[in-house]
Amino acid sequence: MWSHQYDENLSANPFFKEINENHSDIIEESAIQNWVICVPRIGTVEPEEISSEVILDHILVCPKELGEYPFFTLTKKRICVENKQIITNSDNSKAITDILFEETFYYNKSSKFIVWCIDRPLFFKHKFCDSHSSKNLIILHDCIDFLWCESLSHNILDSIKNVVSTFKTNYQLEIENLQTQKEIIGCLFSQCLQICFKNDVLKEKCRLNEPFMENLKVAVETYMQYCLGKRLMFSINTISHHKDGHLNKIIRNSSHVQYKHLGIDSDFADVISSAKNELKQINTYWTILDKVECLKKTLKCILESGNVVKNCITSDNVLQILAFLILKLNVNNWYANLTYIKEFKLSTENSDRIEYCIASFEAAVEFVSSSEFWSIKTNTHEEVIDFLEKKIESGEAKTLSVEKQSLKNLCHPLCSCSNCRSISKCEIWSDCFGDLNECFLICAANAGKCDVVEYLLNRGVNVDYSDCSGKTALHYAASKGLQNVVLLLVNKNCNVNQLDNEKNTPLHLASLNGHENCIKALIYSSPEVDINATNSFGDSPLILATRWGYLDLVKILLENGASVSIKNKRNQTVFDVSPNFYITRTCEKYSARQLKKIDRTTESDSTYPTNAVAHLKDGCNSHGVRPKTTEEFKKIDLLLKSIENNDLPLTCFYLGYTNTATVERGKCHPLCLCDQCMIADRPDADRIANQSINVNMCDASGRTALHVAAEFGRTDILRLLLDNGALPNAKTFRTLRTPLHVACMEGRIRTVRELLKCGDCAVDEQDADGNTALSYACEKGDAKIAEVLLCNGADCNRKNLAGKSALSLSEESMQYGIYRLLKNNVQNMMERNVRVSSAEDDFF
Amino acid sequence: MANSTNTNESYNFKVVLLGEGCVGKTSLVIRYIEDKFNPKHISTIQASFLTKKINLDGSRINLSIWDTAGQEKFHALGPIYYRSSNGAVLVYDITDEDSFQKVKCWVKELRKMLGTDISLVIVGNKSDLEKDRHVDLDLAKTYAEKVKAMHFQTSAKLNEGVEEMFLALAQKMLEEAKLKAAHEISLTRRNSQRVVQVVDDENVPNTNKSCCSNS
Ligand SMILES: Nc1nc2c(ncn2[C@@H]2O[C@H](COP(=O)(O)OP(=O)(O)OP(=O)(O)O)[C@@H](O)[C@H]2O)c(=O)[nH]1
Ligand SMILES: [Mg+2]
Ligand SMILES: [Zn+2]
Ligand SMILES: [Zn+2]
Repeated sequence: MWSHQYDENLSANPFFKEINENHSDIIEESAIQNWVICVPRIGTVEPEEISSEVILDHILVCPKELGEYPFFTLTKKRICVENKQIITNSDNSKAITDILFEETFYYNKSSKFIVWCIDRPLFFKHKFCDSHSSKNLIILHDCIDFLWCESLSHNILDSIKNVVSTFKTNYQLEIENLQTQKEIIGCLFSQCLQICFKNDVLKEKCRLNEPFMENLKVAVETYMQYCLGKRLMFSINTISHHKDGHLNKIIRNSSHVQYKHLGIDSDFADVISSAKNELKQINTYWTILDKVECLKKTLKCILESGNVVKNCITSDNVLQILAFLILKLNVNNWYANLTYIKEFKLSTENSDRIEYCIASFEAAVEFVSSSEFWSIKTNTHEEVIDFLEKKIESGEAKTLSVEKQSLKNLCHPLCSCSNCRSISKCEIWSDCFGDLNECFLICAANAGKCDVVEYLLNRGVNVDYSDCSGKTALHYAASKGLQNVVLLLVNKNCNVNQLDNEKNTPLHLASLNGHENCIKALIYSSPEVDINATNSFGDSPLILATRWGYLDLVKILLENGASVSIKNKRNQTVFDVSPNFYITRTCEKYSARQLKKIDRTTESDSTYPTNAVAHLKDGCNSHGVRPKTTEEFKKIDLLLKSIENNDLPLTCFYLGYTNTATVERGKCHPLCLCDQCMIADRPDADRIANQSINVNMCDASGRTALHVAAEFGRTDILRLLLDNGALPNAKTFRTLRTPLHVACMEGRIRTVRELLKCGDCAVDEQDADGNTALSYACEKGDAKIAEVLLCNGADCNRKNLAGKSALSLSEESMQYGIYRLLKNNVQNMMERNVRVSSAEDDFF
Repeated sequence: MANSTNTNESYNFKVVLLGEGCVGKTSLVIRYIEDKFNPKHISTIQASFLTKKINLDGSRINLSIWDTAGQEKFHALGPIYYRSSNGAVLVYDITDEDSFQKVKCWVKELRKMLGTDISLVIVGNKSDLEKDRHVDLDLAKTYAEKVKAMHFQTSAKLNEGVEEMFLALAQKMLEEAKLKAAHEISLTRRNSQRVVQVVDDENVPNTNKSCCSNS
């Protein structure tokens, strides 16, 4: 009933016509007596076979009551109706006939009768004509068969393939928006159809037969999509990369969600596993037809499970189960798949049935990304932690009764292996305190309870303790995105590269689950983090972040030296797993840079002026001060924000340069959440002023207050910072940019002047790409700034890593004003300075 | 007599069932589809998407009836289900005043999102529980009239008013569709088809379109 629907217009059926026109008495009587009129589907009965006797054979008298009573025909033959089938028994031969559909006819306002369209006539002895069953294209294979058989050659298929592969080399589909992509694919589709119409056989068939034309369109469309293959999906992934990245993060972080959280009855277990087997194949298909078929099969598993669970399946059941499947499958592009199915169907319209199917999946995806879903996610171990917290607060922790016998049988308090689950069910947690503090550390870290973690760490608990899965507290905190806990643990010098049983480092888990904050915390607060560690599948953190489409994470990892050339055990690099264009492009950018760096180190120093690499040696000393605690992380963010907003008083306030009389007021206790203490926690509160922030503190990427002031041209603040000891040449971590670089990039001339006023500002400092401030001014074509820089002795011949000097950059970007300026400068210099000689050849 | 005017027209209508939990949406649709004439041949194993074919004086109508999820946590998903529907059955329980308020919310939302494109029928279900009635019938009828919706009382339990209600809705949707078709013909035939036009000449699209904008 779900998969395929037969339909025909009964008023065109000769058998029904005959009854309608010549046996109106039967119809009238049917309406009164509730008889059912059976009509064999069109083409199964020849007109000359339709006699009164045959017609009466097809009128069913229904039993008055439900249950075992049989049906009779008007010819008094006994029949059975079961499961949408009619079972007849004549002359000792049993025959089963399908009921194709039921149609209720209403006429004359108040009368109605019912017709069953059946697969073949009842009680016929001879074989009947079977030619009218129309062919249906359900999967790719049907389409290829169709094109092959109907054109009687392979030419059509080959031609379509050629057209598509030309298209693939000529178009860069992935950079277009949805509407444009649809149009481009539409054009390609009509090109492919043209091919078919050049074939005379096909053209003639189309002319004669409307359904044939429809089938041809479906077949061509499907084969075209197959030829486009991964390319089309990649482009659509790019359109929806943002939504998919967001959804993936939710999915990855919901691994603990079980049936009961979604309200699914455990009777559905088998249904779910068979539905899962269907749905997990969704990304093995490239065509809409196959993808829809996959969704239909999945839904069918669920809808037809009513028999299994002895209950009627409602929309609630469907949604819950689909949401569960979405959470449990490793599909990283649900939105893209739905966009593809909904937006890229070019040939026939979808049936309502398919629309319903798609809507159900859409609703399930929408539900998973909604706040409603967020709120039903439960933390199963909350009680343990609450208990612990209370004990610690009341100072009872030390004196707890040590009745740990039962707990000892567990791998650790949080373990969820089947063995532990069965034990822990009957345990009372209050009795499980003792020397298993390490386990509680893991518990607390997992639950994000900083206070408990801190308490335990201060009591000397082993910070690197790992549970039966090989995970340490840091693993759990990183995988849950608990930045504060991560910072606490890292500051206790835990092993940041500890491997779990699958050889995942904490960085792997943070990458897998999309936790940007933890990645930053790990990378910036601990220099030892191995950014290119590979787990037992050979995946690096970068590969994991790429696979799940976390663009922001990919950028951070790359900025911090993640390698794009690592291959996992399936021999895939980031480029192979990248789901969308943005990530691929980002990786390409860095791969070019990484290659360059390799070049540079292999070539001898003489190729580049020695000062081009000098900064790499001494550069590391000139960064800002890394924040050490969460508090500091927070504060530096606030400070930078206030500078961005040009809020001078607030900036002074954070830096502690103000004497505003503030009332000192402590908190009830460090973690109190009462209203008053929350106020004390607010950014403008005294507490922050009390412990003012170092003027050279930098944020996660190494930007100091001075960088931000330079970037946004906040000259007053800039002056204040410099007056208070800000390092004018502080560099960011990876890009190695000084405030002067930033000011030039943003074209802040006043800021540039201000910076250059302070004596020790290094005007020729080079960043990671070897560019000087002047390079950026030239690139931007900002003649005024260039002039200021030159006046302050900037060297226009300093080459960047691409071997280009400011001079050549300005020439390249056709900034002739600047070019002239620079040329003059060079000339002046030569006149003044006879020393310049050997390097000269490089410049002209 | 079957007044087969042989118009042979076929219509596909989508109908959504909306209403608070437990008002009897699922019961109504099962009652409607599981016709009393043939209790056995359809084994209703699912009630989330059901179809029914009816023939109104020669016009063939395929009804697809979408039952929506009733749980509150799924409420926000409504638009995914009701978009592009031709009709909506808004069900309340006559013993439950709150469920009637909920119907009012749905009316507002549907009118806002779909305008008058959708035919509405407001249904007071569980009419067999007359003794516990908490929603005034006249009030409900007046409200329905005000928002240009039909009003019916049904009992899924006793099979009262169910078929009449769906039939009336089908009739209403048919009228709307015919009106709209007539209107569209009177306008010049705008080409709103999604189907790609097949041109017979060699109209090869400009292949260079996107080459200049890549990075
Ligand atoms: N007395 C009486 N009870 C009814 C009637 N219709 C439904 N019920 C009962 O009302 C309850 C809810 O019916 P459902 O059909 O599941 O309601 P629903 O609106 O689909 O509920 P959700 O799917 O949760 O939104 C069931 O216990 C039904 O037996 C009716 O006409 N009369
Ligand atoms: Mg229901
Ligand atoms: Zn265990
Ligand atoms: Zn307090």
